[in-house]
Amino acid sequence: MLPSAKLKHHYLLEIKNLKTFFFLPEGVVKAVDDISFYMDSGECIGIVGESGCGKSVTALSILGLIPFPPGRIVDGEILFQGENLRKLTPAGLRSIRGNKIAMIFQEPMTSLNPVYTLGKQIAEVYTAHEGLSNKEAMARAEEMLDKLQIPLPSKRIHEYPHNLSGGMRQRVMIAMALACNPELILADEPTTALDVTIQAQILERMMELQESLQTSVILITHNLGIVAEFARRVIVMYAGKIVEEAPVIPLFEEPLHPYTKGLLHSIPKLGRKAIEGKQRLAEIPGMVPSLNNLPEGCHFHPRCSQARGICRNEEPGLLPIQAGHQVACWAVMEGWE
Amino acid sequence: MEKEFVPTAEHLLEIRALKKYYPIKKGVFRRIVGWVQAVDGVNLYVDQGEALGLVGESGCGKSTIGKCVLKLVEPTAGTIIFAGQDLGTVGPHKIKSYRKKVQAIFQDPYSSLNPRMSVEDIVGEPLRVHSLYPPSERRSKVEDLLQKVGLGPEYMSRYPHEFSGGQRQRIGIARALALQPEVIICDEPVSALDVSVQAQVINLLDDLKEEFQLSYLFIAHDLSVVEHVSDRIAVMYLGKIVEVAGYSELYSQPLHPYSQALLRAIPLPDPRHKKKRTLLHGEVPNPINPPSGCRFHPRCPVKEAICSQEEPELRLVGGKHWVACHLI
Repeated sequence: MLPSAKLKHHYLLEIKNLKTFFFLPEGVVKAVDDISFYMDSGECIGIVGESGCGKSVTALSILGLIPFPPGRIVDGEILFQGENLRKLTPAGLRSIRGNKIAMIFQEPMTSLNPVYTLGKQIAEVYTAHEGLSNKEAMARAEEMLDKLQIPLPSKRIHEYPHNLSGGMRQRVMIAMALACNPELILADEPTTALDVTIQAQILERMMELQESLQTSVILITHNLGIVAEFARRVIVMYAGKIVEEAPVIPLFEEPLHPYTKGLLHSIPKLGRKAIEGKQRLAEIPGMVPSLNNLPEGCHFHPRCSQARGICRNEEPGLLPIQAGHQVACWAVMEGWE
Repeated sequence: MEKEFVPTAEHLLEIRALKKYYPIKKGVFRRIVGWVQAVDGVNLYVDQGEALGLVGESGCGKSTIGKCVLKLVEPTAGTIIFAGQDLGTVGPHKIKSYRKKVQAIFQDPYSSLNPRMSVEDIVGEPLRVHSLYPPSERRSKVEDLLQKVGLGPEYMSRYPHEFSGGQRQRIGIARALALQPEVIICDEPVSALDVSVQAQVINLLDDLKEEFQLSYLFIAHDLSVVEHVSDRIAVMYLGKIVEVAGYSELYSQPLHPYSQALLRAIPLPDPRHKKKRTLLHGEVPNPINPPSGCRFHPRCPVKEAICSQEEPELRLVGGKHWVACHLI
């Protein structure tokens, strides 16, 4: 036997049995309930799901940004380069946050500080993590704005967030996230608030930078189109659980979980009506369940057309079907027709 | 064949040369210092039983058109003609009966329902305002309407906060249907909903259109949703219509460079799809001070000298396909 501890391969990020609950007066909200996944360096994975499925809480848990109270990581490990982030001191976590792991939030309107200039906000990343002087940091901030194709960066660094449009603010957010060449970027709905032409510009730029810097990205979104174009591996979440995980092509071409199938069929696809004529959209009946009152067994069963007795009583675990493709569904596991 | 855009009288709803400018007021005396040209000379029509989609990015004026048609804002210039009658010339009494024919569904099902009213009151209010049925019959009428949108009678005495977004949107649709309108203005009706619920509401809108021969003016920013619902699609940019075409022409042969860019910018849920994007540079200019000539020219990848000098007219290029571009 080899002394395995030192030779053991570390994923860039490995989440093991993460549980993040919110303890509210109405009851315990299991926002993230026992999820595990990993990612390698340089990889771009997508987490998709609807509102309340736990995708944002997963990202906030990784960074230790769950508001306490009422939220708390109840159990599980978050291993970043082999190190459990849950065991770090607040200071230790701060040295990783923004430096090795950065986050891009959805709302560029609210996630920039309105009383500081843009230059100062980006420069702060450099002064905090790389110990640069203010002057050097400002120069680096200007460089970063230029990389994100913000016109007149030398003028922009002295402006305030309200001077910018939504698209420009989101670029500033990305500039801040990329400032220290992080190993991992958590992008939580980075373009949801933006127009499609601006969304295309920003995503394209973000991915070019990701490729050139070999950064890993977790792209959290409800937009299946964005996932299909940018992610290589996809995790589908529903009501706090991972229901399916697969490389992007099998996920879109041979989805296994009834929820994934339902989602893919329920979105109108551009051009399909022109080519195949008008077809009714497939519906998923019902609605996303409330997290403090989840159905027993498989959380999806009340909306599932294949549900049988076992689905109502017992929760299915994730089962690997093919390389990298896992699904949590009784119908798939037991081969129901 | 090229001619000026002249809508004819046979359309159910016509919008002619519609303009809406909003004043910008500054200072203690609220002096008007400028105008936001939200809608600047728009011609459109909607036929009986037709769904006209209106797409464009935020701030292009698509919702303002909806508000003008609903008479929620007074147009700065231009006319709106419904069933042959010019709304600018009819009296307030006629406007009330016009409102019976033209109803609306709004984007945000959270703020468009009064939280203090029960579902029965919300859906029944239009009937009361227009004194349509005797009060004793209204309850059963509301029940019918709720059933049409897939909600059971047990929901009648509940309040909006007890419903999910999708159910609220159904209540809004039931309210819009109450007066048996001919046209429904749908302003981003599904963009606030979860993906799995969007399809339910889109299907419902499709079914109701069939059943009641409704016409829709379907305003949305998501081109795939608009394409699915609409028979014809109008693309708007900065207060102007740049292209109008049947849904399949617009998809297979978009002519205006902006329509082309818009179509290509949409990420498709198909991982094998090869992207060939002509990315638009820059952002939508400010409608307070729109660019000269063609408003799209500062971002246009194929612009020529004429584009910055002269404004292109919306011209017919075949069938029902209209486009406003010098280079076509």
